[in-house]
Amino acid sequence: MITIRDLAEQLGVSVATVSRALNDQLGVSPELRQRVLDLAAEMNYRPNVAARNLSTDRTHTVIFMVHRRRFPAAADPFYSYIMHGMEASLSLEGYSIMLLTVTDEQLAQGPQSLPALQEKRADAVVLAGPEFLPGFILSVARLGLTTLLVDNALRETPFPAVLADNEGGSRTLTDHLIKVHGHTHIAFLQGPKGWISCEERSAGYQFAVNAAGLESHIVESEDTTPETGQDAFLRAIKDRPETTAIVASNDAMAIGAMRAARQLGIKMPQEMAIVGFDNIFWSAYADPSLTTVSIPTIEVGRLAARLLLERLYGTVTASSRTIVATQLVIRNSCGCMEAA
Amino acid sequence: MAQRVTLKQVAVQAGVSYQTVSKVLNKQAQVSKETKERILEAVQTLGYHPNSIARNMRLQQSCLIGYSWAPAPPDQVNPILDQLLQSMAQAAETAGYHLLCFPHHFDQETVTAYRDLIDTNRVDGFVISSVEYDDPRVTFLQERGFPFVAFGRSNPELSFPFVDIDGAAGMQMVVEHLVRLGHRHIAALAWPKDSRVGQNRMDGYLSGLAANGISVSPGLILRCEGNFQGGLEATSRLLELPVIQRPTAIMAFNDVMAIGAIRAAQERGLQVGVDLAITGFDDTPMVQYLTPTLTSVRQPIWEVGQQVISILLSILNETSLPGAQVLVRPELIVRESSRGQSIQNDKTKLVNYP
Repeated sequence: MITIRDLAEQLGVSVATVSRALNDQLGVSPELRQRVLDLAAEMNYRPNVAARNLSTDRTHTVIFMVHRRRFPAAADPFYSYIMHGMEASLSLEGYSIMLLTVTDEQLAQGPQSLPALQEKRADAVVLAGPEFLPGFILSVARLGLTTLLVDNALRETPFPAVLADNEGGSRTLTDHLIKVHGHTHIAFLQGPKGWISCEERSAGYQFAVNAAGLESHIVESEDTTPETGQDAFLRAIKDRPETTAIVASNDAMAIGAMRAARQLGIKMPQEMAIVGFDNIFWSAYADPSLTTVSIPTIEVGRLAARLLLERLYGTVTASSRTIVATQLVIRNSCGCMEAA
Repeated sequence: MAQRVTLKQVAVQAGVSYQTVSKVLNKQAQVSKETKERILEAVQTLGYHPNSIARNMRLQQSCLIGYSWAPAPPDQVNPILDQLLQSMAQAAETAGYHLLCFPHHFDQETVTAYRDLIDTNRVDGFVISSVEYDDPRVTFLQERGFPFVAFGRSNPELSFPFVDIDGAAGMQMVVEHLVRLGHRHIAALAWPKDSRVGQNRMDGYLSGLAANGISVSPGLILRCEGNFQGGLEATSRLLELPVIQRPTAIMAFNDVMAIGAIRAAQERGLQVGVDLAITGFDDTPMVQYLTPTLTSVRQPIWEVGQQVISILLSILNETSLPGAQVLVRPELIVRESSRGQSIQNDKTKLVNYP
């Protein structure tokens, strides 16, 4: 492997000169600069990233951090898609993604429990998911790393974040049940309090229900899985037997709710309309097919990459929340008869 | 692998850590006179050259493992690779490594990304998945002598470290299960011929039939895309066969096709699990919440991920198991779609089927 040292020896100049020429820095005559570049091309020189890191201080790596539960067996590859969206954009700039999965214990201990953050192996870090609490987020930012939140946000402190329009999506979905299908007793199956996306989806539901002069009915759960959806559905109809529609925090809960309804012999959608959020793969194949809200995850990834790169190259310094539009996906579970 | 003397070898010879050797040679640390002499002696003995000293100091271990994969197209789903990623990430992290993820290309660009990462010294090794016949990555990495482990197999004549699921064994288990329920006319919804994984599964289906004295009916083997529509259309054709030829059981090569098959059967008023048995493969997490619940084959992906990383690390630490090639047995999970019981509509029985 050809090194900067080899090039320097060939040309009879210093390593520093070669390095400056290769990195487009000042301090090299145009003629010498060209000779360096020509020789590098001829000898098929490739920068040794580890060495380059030492001189330019850039690692060309972005850490993508998720909680271990976020790639669990039951969920859909939401964060995988976001990571892929980022990969494509980042690789064009020569960046790669280092994946970091963290546990509750590590989050509780803080960034010092994560050597990859401490050793400055990356230029930036993306914290993806609602498990990252404000204390942890701010202590990561204090390490001096460019930090971005995905599917999460800080409420009080301006902080760069990319989020789906959870509230708008949920509001549109609930409106659809009220205005198109005439439901007046609609329950919302909420996920854990403290998860931004769940809170915002709940807020969207409440807004739509209040605007129509209807009563809201929110059932809380500790997680957003098919099991909790099943359980929450049963509680919802037990508390309010007049319920005719369910808005679930996500498709996983909706599918669980549908299973519970089916086992009780409740006809869907005629006797119960159930809608979800996320547009996971299986939502199309549920029976009835699930009306839901889709989040353009690849776009979220691309956008996150762009925001990161803008901050890394210093072209943008404002800390703001970026909200990505969601889209209503009408299938049959709300009552609409069109083919999915 | 390249015969260059490594910093690590000097360290082992001198009985110190490689970081210590690096720092001493780079004059970045003070150590005892003895230690310094031991290091310099090791350098002499092993024939460590000045150029390679400079090079190897920069060749600090990255502690990164390169891995790339692509999300499934919109009409498919790949729970296997999602789970694999999680398992590998954790196994790597436990050992102080991380995964470096980069985009996956299915075309000529495939090898370029790997070459770039090797040439720029970004990673210590690779994991490759979605391994196919004539996979250019395998031959490239072997030529470069660069450490890698595959999840999956390729051409039988290529020899490289891999961990794979014994798909043939999985399909054979399904055949046994169906035969025990009394089925003899068993159809297969298979993948296109160029799929290596598909061929493994086909082998299992054929062996299963042979082991039970059932002759193969070509009319009961349909090849289609591994998606819902493929499963639905193929099943529709099977159910239109004259009764004598019609299958009583359909084995799909993945769960998504099986769901399509179930829909085709339901559209004809058939009760799946009673009138017709349908099975899938993958045991995708959501299938236990659909109706009917799907009999499928669970792939112990967590174990695969742990083994892949473990083998790669032992190669990197030069304690490699010679020719590590591991085949993991999957598990049959029997549910409503093949069990032969009618689907309960009982209000008191809100049981979670496994």
